[in-house]
Amino acid sequence: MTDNDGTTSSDGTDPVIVADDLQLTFHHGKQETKALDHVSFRVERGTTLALVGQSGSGKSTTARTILGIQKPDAGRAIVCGSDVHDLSQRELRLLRQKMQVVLQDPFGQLNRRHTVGRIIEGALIAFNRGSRRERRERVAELIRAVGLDESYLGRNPRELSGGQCQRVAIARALALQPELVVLDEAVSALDVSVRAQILNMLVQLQKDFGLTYLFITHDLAVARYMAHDIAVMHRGRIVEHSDRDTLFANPKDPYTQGLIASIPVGLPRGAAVRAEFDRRLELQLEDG
Amino acid sequence: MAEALTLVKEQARAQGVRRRALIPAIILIVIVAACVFGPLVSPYPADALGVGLPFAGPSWAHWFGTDDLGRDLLSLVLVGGQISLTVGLGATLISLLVGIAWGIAAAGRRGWIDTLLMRLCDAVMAIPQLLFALVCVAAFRPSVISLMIVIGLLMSPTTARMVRSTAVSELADDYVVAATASGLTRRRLLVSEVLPNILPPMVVQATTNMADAIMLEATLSFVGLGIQPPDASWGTLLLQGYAKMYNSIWMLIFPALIIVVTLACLVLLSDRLGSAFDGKKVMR
Amino acid sequence: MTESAVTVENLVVTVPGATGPVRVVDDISFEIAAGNVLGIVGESGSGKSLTALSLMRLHRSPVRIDNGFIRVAGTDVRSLAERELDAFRGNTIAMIYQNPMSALNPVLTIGNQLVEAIRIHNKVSRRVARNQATDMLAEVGIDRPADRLDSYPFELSGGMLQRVVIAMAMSCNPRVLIADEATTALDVTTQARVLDLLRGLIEQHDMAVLFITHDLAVASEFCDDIQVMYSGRIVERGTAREVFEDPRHPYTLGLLGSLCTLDMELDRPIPTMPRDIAELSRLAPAIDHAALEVQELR
Repeated sequence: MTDNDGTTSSDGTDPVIVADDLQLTFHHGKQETKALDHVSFRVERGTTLALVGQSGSGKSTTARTILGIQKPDAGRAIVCGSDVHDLSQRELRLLRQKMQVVLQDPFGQLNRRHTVGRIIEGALIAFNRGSRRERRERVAELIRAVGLDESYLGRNPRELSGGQCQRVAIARALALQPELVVLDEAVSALDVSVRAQILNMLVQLQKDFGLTYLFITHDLAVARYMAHDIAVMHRGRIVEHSDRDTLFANPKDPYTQGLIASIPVGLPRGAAVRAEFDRRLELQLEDG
Repeated sequence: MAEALTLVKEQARAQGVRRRALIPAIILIVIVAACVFGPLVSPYPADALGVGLPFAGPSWAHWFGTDDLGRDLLSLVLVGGQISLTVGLGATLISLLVGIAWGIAAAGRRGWIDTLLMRLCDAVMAIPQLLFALVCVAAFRPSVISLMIVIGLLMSPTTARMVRSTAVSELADDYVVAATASGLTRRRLLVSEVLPNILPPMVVQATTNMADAIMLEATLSFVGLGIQPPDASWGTLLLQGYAKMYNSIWMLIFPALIIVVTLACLVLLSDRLGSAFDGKKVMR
Repeated sequence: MTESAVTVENLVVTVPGATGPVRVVDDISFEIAAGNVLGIVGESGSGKSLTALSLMRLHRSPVRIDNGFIRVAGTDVRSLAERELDAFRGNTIAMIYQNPMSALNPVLTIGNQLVEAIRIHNKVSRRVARNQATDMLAEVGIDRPADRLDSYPFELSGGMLQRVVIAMAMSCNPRVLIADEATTALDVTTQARVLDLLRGLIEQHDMAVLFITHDLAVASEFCDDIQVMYSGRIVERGTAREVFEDPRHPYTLGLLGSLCTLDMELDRPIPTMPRDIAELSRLAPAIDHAALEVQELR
């Protein structure tokens, strides 16, 4: 945990993730697929990098490599100063306290045999955090932080809606006070109105806890709202990587241009609609 | 919406399945209750000689008739059932404990340990069950305990295979990825996350094992290597009935009938529980 | 005025609940003219899929149609006998789903399945059917169609499969097409191409289309008319322009407000649905833009 390969703060920056020339090839019989083709990027503390791409572009594989679930053929994935794939099983487990994940399928990622309370407590038990009572208090604190209340703790995930499941998954991810949260299509399976609530909450949580996000999505509009930097992936390669405003104002790669062009422009909003949104937003902000 | 629809459908299906599982379950409960409490209330103790004429057929006084010594056959069947069911239950428990540990160990470790454990499974499964049981029982003294252990061990590889395949498919699920990423140790992952998800199919496996165990016990006792007189089980009753077949056919028919009904109910129950759990899995 | 291809009046669909039947589709009426696309937008549980299933009588017990009148291309759907349903579903109305794999048999080649689909409804020889199948694959924009006939479903990408499913749905020249989240699972670029394809086919065959989606952006581009469903009821309807540019119902407003778009303002929360939306939606009457105009003229 202590090995510092000179990637932190030498140049005044403080990256939570450094992906350095990651490479991975999958073999299906004779066919070869380049899942990761010289993938490199860094994510500074407290910021969000969105990995955008279509299915099979390698964005989820990148996430799994960062999380230490998928081993790359070559390259380094450095999280909080430690090379994830250079650690022993024990050290990797300890590093996992600092990086957590929220997946796409709201129901699939929660163990259907456990209660909500037990699911959130799981990681705390795994690392022997606090006494039984302290853990209970922490779980109650977490469930409130994600906008649910204690009455949910005794329920089974099957009784919850998709949005509620996703909130529980986020609460679990926050339990160990991580530095990095990987959000792998975390809002893609949700309804529009629920998605907005979860996105707002994620932004708020990032501010409150100084979290770093690796935000994986196929939706450029969501990426634009959430991320400081955006990396567009295509066939295992990062084809364009820049800050949000530059990417949309001046997309350089033809693939990125195509991606932006294929989004339905629709929804021309009249002035009246905008005024109504603003009014509603004011009310919401007043509510707290 | 599509999910909501599947949910409604699956619920309806699960309800139907539950209703159909009810009949074999009730019959089984009646049989077990009769074996446990029947002898307490029966007017004829199972070991009382000459409570009726020898070789009598079914009558109001003796529903199943009497045996060669004039004992009440119903009382004998119920008392025999206590031993048969005990052996069945004990063997099932042993097979589950050994099988789950075996299967989980294989699924959790993969690699050469997995290969080794599964080859061992194949090896045990390749031995003809009856032959193995005969040798074991002949080597040790046949008793209720040794029968339980031998039969339980014999059934554990099938259970282990089941556990392993279920566990391997569970390990690929999202919740396991999420739990791994949140830092659970491999052992805790298997025991506290995966195991609870394996238990429902294990209930199904348990009913199947129970049927197998009762069958195997009856077979062993029938060839004289199981329960030894003066103890009686359904298998020994069947053996005696077979010997006296030409004096009274009832001595053969009733023990056979009770075995067939019990096994049929267990198999039906396992089948129906199986489809109920399949529905749940889809439903989440 | 010609007769609509689809007419639904006072449709009520229920499922049994703990306290008596629950109305999952609650007294809705709509029409679709030939060549038109009607979009039903709504979130999970709004009853949009059950509406679609009812049109084909594909709903299964315990879901049941309690009341209402459904006419598709001149056929009174509720009065059809069971044995007439197959012909009705093949020839008059067809459906494409979110997951193309669920509509295809994984162990048969694409060609086999297309040929079968053609021969069920038209008595032609295998050879002729195979030729037709090739033409159909070409029509849905699959290159090297003759080679593709011998492919198995798993050898094709999601977008290609959805094209094959569209080809199968078109094989008997239906009057009405139902697309239930048909492009939801596809990537944006693929989605745009499949929608283009559908648009062309609709014009060419003069089909009436019921397009079900939760994706407002897609609905706004693809549909002529829109109706917004919430808890089994239609809360707002009008042309796509009317509904998206000038939404009147609080639910529609909330839905459009919470949408992430490329032109939205950053660095402030996305407006979300008001908390009392269920209450508001129950109180606010359903809004029909056509009726609104009449009122405003007076």
